[in-house]
Amino acid sequence: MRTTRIMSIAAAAAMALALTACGSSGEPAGNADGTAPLLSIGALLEPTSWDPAQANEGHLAPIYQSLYDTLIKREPNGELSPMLATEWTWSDDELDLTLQLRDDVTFTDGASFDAEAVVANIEHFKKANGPMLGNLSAVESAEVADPHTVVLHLSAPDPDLPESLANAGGYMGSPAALADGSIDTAPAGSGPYTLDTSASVAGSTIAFARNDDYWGEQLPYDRVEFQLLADETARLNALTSGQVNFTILNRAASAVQATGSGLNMAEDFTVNWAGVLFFDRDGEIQPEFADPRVRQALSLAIDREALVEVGWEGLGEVTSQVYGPESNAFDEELESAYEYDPARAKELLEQAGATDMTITFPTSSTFEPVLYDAIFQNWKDVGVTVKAEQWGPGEAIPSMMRGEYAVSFFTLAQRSDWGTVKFLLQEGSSWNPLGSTDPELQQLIDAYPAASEEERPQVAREINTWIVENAWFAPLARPGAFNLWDDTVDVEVQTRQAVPSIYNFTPTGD
Amino acid sequence: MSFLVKRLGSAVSLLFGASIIVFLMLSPAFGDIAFNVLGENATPEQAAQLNTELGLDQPLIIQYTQWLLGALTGDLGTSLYSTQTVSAALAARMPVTVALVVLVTLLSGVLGFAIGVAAAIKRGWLDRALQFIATLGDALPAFIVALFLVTLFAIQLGIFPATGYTKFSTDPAAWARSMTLPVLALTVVAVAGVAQQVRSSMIAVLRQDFVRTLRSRGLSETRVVLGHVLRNASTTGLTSLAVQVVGILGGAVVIEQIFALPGLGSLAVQASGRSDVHVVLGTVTAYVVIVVVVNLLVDLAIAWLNPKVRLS
Repeated sequence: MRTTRIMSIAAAAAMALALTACGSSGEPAGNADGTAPLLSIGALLEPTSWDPAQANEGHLAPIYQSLYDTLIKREPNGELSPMLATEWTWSDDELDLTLQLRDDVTFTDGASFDAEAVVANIEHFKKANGPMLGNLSAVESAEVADPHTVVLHLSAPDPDLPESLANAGGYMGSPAALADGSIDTAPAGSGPYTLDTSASVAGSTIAFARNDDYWGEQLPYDRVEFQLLADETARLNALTSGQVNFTILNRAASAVQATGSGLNMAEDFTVNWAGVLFFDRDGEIQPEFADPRVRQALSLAIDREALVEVGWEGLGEVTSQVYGPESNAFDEELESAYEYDPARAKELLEQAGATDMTITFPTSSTFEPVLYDAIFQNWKDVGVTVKAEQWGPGEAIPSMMRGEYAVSFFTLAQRSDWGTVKFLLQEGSSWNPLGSTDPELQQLIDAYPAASEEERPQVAREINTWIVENAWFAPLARPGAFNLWDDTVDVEVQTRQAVPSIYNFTPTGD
Repeated sequence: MSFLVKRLGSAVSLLFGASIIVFLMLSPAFGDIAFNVLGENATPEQAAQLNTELGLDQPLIIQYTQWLLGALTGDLGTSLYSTQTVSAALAARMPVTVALVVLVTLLSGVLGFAIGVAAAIKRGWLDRALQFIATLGDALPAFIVALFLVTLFAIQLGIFPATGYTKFSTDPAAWARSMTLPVLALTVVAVAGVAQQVRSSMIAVLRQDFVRTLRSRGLSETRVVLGHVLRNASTTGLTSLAVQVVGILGGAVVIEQIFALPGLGSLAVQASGRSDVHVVLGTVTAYVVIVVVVNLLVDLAIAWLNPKVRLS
């Protein structure tokens, strides 16, 4: 009797579950006119503010692009094309950039887009202390030349400025919303979508609805949803079960699992380089590092091929340079500059008198422990002792920026020719925390902006060669950026961006 | 009434103590916050400026006092990482976690009592099966159960969503679908403990003399068991359920991560990982409130069931 009662409760519960399950209905995948009702993206990060001056690059790009247009557009292959600015021209001394603006654009709050609006955005960006402030560091002021022409005045040449204006730094928000601060929580841009607050759930879903008054060509999706899935397993499960159409995975093992279940992955797509950063090239913390032979030896001692196998399941390319193949500075010959050679590494260490070296090496739980193990074992094999110290959550970047360690392992974005110089190589660069410098390198750095556009690629290659030869870094690999999607969508990956831009998704009609 | 006042008093002192501990524990990371907010491309000068803007360059005691004075007036501050106020974040997250905890508590209470009573009365195979399941339930963490449920019901069968959350007000059916697997994962683990407690306590009560007396007076077995034995045995079961609630809250932290539910747990994990001190303090406050309320409800239920407790 009692058992029967329990059984009936269980049966009722099962029925209830089945009933709720029946409510799920598959959305139709595509419309006859090439549009589709919904694109769902599994995202890693949530924007901290809707203020375009607080925008960040990479993972957050498609979210901000949905709401805000940039002055210049980056095509998937990295080429720049017109967007809110129809053309841009440098003055001869490259200290003024003149932008011609569209005259048919209105922000979603009704404000018009014009030269005044650009000036307001640039001035706001410079004041707001956002994460990408460095993008416009060379811009001293912005000036209205006529209602649809604006001139940016620079304090020093910045060949990357047009690219920055196609990224965080170029997002244009309504000047009225910038002025009254409402843009923090109520975005007002001119982008292809608007924020659908009623369908958005804080910490869970950001929902966008088509901006019917969009000035440009409409994007194919009526709605776009970003599901915030910080956990890698959650992203993998959401993609495998068809809950999201696209996501990015961090771990090679997850990517292998996803492709195994029939999902599509961008082949050989990389955006980062992974490697050892020798911060202490002057030997302040680790005196031996002042000798380039020691840094070269440590680079030669690492078996990169094996590392890519164990650390990234073979899904990555071995390299010895920080520049990626799409940059002008890239040199095919430098790829194997530090091919695994423990014997030579030992020789160099002997010549440098560093046969009994102990290195304190910080580790982060962001990376597979096996990567550290492989590097430490390789170094041990050439007689180097490694003392590992663990960073807590959120400690890695601040610790490196403060210059607390002589060396570390990290993955960093592959930047443009000049972007690499700005972020990695200058004395005040954020990734040069101990302020290393060298007269020879400085001369090359100074020569780059001064050179003509035709000469710059050559100078960039010389800079690259110099830092490879002097082993400022020991780049090890370009790990795969695991962009994965299902059969309902065609995706074009975006050069130098972890995830595709919002313009790069097309429904397949499946 | 004095009982309520006492309870409230202890909750307030608990919150005060917890807030100091949280503040002190997170304080070594305050210097890192500006770098983490701005990311890998910012310069030290930018970080220093942000530190000043956020007030993180002030002495610790001043930062804490400012927070406390605000909190006393109902202002829990703003996240250091975004423009969202802590009150808004809690208001958005609280319903998810409360729904999760209430559903799991009810479900594991009902099932735990049903299984416990059945096992105590029937003994035999049902009892042995319960012992086995209880051991398994204790041994299996909720996230393992969750991963199993996701693989089976979301990925293989496609009946429930693997992740994500729909608000009840938006679509009740979709809300129920998004809550089913998380609730099941936590219930499987919690129910075993409750059932075990109810079973042992039922068996102990069944052995008492008054049960024999009741039976000898010709009362039906159903009335003896449900009307008298269960009423006596339920105190232990309810107390165990109250203890389970704390476990459920802890389990919910992980479960919310796995299912990407925007509840207090995922907020707490994210905030503590990046030392977003105001948000951590807010979530701690919310947790304390939930635990205190649940314990209060259980105490009231026990008092209602057992007059001896009321007298004491």
